[in-house]
Amino acid sequence: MRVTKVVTRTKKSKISLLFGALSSLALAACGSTSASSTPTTAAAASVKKVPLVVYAAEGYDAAEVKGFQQATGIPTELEDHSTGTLLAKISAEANNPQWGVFWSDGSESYAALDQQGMLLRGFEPTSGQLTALGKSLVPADKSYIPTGTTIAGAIVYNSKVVTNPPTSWQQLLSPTWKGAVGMNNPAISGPTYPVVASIMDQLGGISKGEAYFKALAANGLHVYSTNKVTLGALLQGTIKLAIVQNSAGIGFQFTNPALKVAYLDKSALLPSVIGIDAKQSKAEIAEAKEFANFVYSPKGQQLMLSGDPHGDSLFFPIIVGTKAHKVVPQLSSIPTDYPNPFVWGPREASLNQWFTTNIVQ
Amino acid sequence: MSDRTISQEVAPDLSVVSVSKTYEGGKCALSEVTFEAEAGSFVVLLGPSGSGKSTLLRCIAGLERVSSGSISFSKRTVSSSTLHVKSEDRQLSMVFQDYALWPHMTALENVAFALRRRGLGKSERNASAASMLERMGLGHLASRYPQELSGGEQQRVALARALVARPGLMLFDEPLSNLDADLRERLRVEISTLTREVGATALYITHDQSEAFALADYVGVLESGRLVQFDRPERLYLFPKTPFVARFTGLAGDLPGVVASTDERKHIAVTQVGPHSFKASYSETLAVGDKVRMLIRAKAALMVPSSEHDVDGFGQSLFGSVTDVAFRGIGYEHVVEIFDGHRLEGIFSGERYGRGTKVKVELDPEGCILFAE
Amino acid sequence: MRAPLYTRDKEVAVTLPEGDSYRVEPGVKDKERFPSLIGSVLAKAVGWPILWVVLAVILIVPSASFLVLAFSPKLFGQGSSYFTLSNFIQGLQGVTLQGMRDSVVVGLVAAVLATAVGAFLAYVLQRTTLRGRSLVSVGIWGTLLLPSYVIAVGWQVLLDRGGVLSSVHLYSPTLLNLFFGPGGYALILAIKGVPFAYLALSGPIAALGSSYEEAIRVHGGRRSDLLKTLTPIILPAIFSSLVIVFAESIADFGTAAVIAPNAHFPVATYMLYVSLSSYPANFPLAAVIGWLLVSTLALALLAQNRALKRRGFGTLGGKSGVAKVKKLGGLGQLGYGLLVALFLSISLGIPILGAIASSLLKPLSSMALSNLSLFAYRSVFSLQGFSSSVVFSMKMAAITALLGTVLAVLVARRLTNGRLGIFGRLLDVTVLVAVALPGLVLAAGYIFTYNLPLLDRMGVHLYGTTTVLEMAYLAGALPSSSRVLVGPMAQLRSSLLEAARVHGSGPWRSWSKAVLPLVAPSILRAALLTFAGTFLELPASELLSPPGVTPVSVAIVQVLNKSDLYQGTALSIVALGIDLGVIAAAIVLFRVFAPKGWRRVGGRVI
Repeated sequence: MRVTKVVTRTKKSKISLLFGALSSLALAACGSTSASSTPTTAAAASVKKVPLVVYAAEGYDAAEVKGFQQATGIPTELEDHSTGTLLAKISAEANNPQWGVFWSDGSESYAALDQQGMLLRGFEPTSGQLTALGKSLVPADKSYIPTGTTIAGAIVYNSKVVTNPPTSWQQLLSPTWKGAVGMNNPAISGPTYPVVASIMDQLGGISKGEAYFKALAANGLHVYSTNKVTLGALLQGTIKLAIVQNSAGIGFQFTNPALKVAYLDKSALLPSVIGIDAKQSKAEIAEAKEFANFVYSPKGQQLMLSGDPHGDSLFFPIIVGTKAHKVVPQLSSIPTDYPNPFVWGPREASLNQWFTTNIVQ
Repeated sequence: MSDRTISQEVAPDLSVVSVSKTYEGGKCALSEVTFEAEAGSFVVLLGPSGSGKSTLLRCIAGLERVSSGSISFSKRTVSSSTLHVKSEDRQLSMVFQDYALWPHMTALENVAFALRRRGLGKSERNASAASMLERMGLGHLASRYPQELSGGEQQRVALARALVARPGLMLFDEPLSNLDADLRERLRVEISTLTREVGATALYITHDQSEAFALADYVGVLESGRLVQFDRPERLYLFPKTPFVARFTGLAGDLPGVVASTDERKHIAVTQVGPHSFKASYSETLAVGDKVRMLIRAKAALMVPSSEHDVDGFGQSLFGSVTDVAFRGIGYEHVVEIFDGHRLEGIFSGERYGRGTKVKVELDPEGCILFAE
Repeated sequence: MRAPLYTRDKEVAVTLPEGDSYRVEPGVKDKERFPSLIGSVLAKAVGWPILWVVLAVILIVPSASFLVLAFSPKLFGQGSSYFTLSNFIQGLQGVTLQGMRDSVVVGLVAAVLATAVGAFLAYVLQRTTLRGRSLVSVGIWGTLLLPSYVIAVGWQVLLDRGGVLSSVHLYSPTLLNLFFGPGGYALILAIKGVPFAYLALSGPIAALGSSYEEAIRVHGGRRSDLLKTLTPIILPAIFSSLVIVFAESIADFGTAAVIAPNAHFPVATYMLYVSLSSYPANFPLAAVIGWLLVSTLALALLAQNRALKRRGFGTLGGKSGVAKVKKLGGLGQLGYGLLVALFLSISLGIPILGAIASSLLKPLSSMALSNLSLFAYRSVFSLQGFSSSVVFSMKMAAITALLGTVLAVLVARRLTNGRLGIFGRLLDVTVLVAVALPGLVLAAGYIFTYNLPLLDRMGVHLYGTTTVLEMAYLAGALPSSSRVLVGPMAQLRSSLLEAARVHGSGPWRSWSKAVLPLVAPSILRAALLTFAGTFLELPASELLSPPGVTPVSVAIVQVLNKSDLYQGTALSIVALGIDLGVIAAAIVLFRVFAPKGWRRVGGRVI
């Protein structure tokens, strides 16, 4: 299959005679955009290196892919979009998958992909050793590979406006915070579903969880699309508390030092994970494994930490020997929660639908 | 036409055989139209709007395909249900109702465009076009754009464009209908003389019978997609084949009647019309007792002063009173009310009969035509 | 008497003697000239079959595939049944249905508003002597070119707490709430609709002969009667304006993305986005929403048909007299000028200023010179790879403009070519319905169609290539650009082309010499609209761009996802600047280099 794919990639310029000249020019011009300074196709074919297609939604993915390509010589093509867009693409392409590696935040969707048999099982990188926390994030069937973690639902507030931030999820229901809390729509923002899942998990089930969010909505909850938009609303003063991914909050602190990040009793862990497409050719799967190994290697870890210094690079490392960014707090000081993705993953679509229907509107 | 740079195309015979045209959606625009026009003749197709005359012209121009039948130029078929020679390959020219001058070209450029098919160089084209405009008295307007010309000037430029390549076949699509009356008359004469000078076969469509009679060697009358009569104008006037043709070519009025006797040899019948009886001509078969309509040509109604001795309905005359009179320069046209509220219109007389005047109208049997009802 | 220029021989040559004058070879039977009777009948019936093949490949099949998903998800690997109505049942209740209802209401309001404003602008520009009319039409074109989300974001940053207004202490929660609700939503859709309404109405309003107006006056009608009596005469144009704005509105996503999540006001396109964003993406539900959008538009078209059926509208002709232009006095100049300025500041001025101001302003600071900074812009220029994104998108946009305009001209020609016939009407409906399908639907439809394993097995490997992206761009651009061309091309008298054919020019030369010069500015306009739309197109760029290729819009979204809103806004403004710069350059080039006759008649491009 891979072999035919190589053929197709040379053939397509014949099919697209109309656009041939211009599109190839454009492709060449775009080589520097991401890490796809691909060696010529002929050379690649001769060493049996097929292009590895990486679907990724991490801020540091471009740096990582570039480093990987330099280190291994494997031609790598990056598709960098939001998690939602990539998942939509993966679903739509289910008939004929195009991706080799999928790397984004949130293990729930990976659990769902695994249950559809789309992920390669049983592989663990050997180039780095997981910490205890890291090991706790590995699924039993080893269908995906955790690479780091963040907190899904941290509280971000403006210390000039709020002096006494809440400490528990229940406090958000009090009149003090009426109309003052904002969060993302889990149906649109990938990293937000774990917050919903974790709160429901902590409260003891879906029905209790739904009651909590209804109460939150009754207390004037604002729902925005993504982290940036919710934080934008915080900066503009529309809301006083933003429930967002902690790395996004820490990132905003660089330009807005008045912002503070607080963690409520039990915050949901949000690991970044890599999945490998089970339906790809052997050659591409081998390259995908190499990619995961590179990420676990010291060089790969360093690129993760430096690739997006004001955003996704502000994660909690889970590889022994990797130190978090200075501004990132000690994870041991934060009470965390990690709902089982194989239980909560399959509920994602229906709970998001419920959230959109009952809470957003 | 002494300009020698352009040779004259051979004027073709035009033959239209059983041409029908049905549009998408089933609307039938032409049905079994057949006529022949010999080379160099001037044919006018006359009909009201919607009669199909425009469609027929466009089929001959190659702008529409025929559904069945065929069109030939000098025995070379150019249109049939399976064959369609493109418009640009038919070596003809056309004058449009809306002039169709290209607004981004000057008058000269518009005229010169028609010479492209002659394979001339640009300077030769421009020279020929300029001399054509000069001949038509438009030389000083050559560098104007159409919007800067009056309607009459525009149509003359369009005529120059149609003439300049000296085509064998010229088509005219109601070219005068957008012009003022006096301009219309002048341009009509120009079309008539210039076309005949060139020697081209000409096909001209109009809804105006006086225009048709003035221009034509032959007139064809179309009604609802059918060619009901095709003949010399004089014969068409004297012997209309149908009441429609008669009406469309000008009537003073028509009266209901019953045939009293017939003269098969002379094609004259005596008809009882109201209280009167008249002699009138007929062409179809009529029998005594048939209900008919007597159609009266304006020129067949002669107005004479009425005297006390006259008896209404004696001979070919009847009484009436003038209800309207119009001065027409060389005389007067009257509307006369006769028995039972019937009216005769357009009755000419050299002298004026005032409104309300009792008059006697004499009818010439040759101008009274009977048609069975 | 001049000497003959041609010898006798030559004369014979130009005279085209008998036998070959008409390119009929002697002895060749009729049938042999046409391959087959059936072929010619078929060609006649279908009319330009190649156009239909192209439309099928780029537009009809992908859209239809996506719609088929609604009841046959398994056909495309999405679910377990080959036929089910459960998605429809799910889609026709609750929040999805409410979203559809909201879309229809807002779309109707926007259509009426835009048509009223468009008619007013058309009147002012075509029938009065208001000074600076050309500037106004530049403004209308600017509104057409500006993506709806830019307008929405511009207003948002102006009104928001901590936004531009609040930095000068003019923040109003009432205004904000008004904006983040059905009102603001309809307003922005109406603004985006005005250029389309203007396009549909300006021709008929310009051509509406003054004899109608005079007839009302002499029969004792008052000023107020004018509108009442004249409106029905241009009713077809009014209806097509309403329908096109309605279609654009219900399919609009940019405004929905900005306003819907904040407004507690779900609209169909937003619900469609939500159904595609969660995992696993609910494509069948999205397809149901697609069906709802399409059938809503079909209903609108049906209503239009019924309303216009029993009236005769062949009245707008040369015989209704030359349209009179109203000379404006000082007061008139001022009054009309103010109204037009009001529209332009709402549609363009405020959003653009708002966006620029917010991109310059340090967050949470008040409007003061010391607080303005070019930080956001500096960071844009340091952004890696953005220039190559610009180059790529520019090339794609240029190709799309070129091919898309050729297609649009063909479509518009077919639509304005006298009698439409069944296939002509089908084409009309196809192109219009395509307007109501959001770009997201089309892009997703492309994945389902061109990533089919069947195609791989057939040796067609289009998916994941620049070609497929280009096809999607074309399909996305075609409906609007052909609509832009239909108006001007409908005004062309068919006799101009016929005159060229009759006087001996072939179809291509006739068209290029006699028609092209007259519509050249409109064609350039359509091309520029396509260029602008493609340069910043998002849904297809996101879903279909080949790995390793980053179109400008995707690059902007990546920045928006990574750093703050301000840098993203700055980047959008830079991209928009490049976009408009190219357009301005093209217009200048046309003015300088187009042949004199072209410029003379076709008028200005904007």
